[in-house]
Amino acid sequence: MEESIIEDLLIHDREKLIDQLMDHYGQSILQLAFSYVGNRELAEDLTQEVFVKCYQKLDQYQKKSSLKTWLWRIAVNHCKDYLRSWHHNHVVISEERVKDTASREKEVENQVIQRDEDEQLAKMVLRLPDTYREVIYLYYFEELSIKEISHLTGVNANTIKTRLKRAKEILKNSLEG
Amino acid sequence: MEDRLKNLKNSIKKTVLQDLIFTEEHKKSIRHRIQQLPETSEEQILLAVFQLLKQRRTGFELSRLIRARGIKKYENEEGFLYMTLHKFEHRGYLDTFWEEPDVKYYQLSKKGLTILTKLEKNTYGKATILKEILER
Repeated sequence: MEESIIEDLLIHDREKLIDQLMDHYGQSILQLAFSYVGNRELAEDLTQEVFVKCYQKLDQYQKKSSLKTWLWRIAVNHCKDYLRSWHHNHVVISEERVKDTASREKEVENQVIQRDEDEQLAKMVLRLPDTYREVIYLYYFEELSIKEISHLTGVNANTIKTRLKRAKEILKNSLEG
Repeated sequence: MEDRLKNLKNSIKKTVLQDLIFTEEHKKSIRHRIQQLPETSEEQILLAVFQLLKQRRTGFELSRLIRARGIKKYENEEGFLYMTLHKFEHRGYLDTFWEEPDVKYYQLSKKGLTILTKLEKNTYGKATILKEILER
């Protein structure tokens, strides 16, 4: 989005600004949320909350980073807060297990129907532990640089490199094993 | 491995994210939730007034901009806004200028700017500053 337009909307019409942000980034934020929680309804809820939160926090936007980066930070933090929350760790688990089994069955089916290696890899990525999935997703799917990932997640760049390396090892082992 | 990962974007899009789409319905629901948000607090209104008056503005301009931020407090009650402005002027937070015979402009004074910086820093002591401004 163009800086001058953002500047203007930030002052004159915040609801329209959110509209534009949704048009530009709604789809990627929804996908991002899905990459964290692996569940469609949850990803939809989290995406809604991210945009509402963004609207509420616009006063605090200090223009130190682009509005896009700022929105993404809110999204990343919001998803991680959810994963850390009591609700997620206590309430949803049983429900998710059911879904997980169902999707595994479907997956086996799919594997029989089409031995699509790419699909296999995609699913494996989504099953990685949180910290590894995060870096793989941001690096290979969103095609962000290590520096950008570091800024978004607040994690040291070297740690991110290590996580990327380790994540690739895990993927390699499971694909070959 | 690296090659396959390079292709991950497509693989994920084609498979697991295939029918995950951010729709008009989602947008509608977000807009609705934004409209349902509780009324803005005194603090947020105050912050908005201070932020907007970094530039020189008339009371009329200010009331429109405040409304644009989703704050409805002064809607059709502009008198209250002028009372607030008067109060801030009196305390030295605002400088005022007359241009043309009857148009009055408001802008943050040095003192007002200092307060705004403190408010925006969001640090410890914010509550004290707000209390001082709102209650006195």
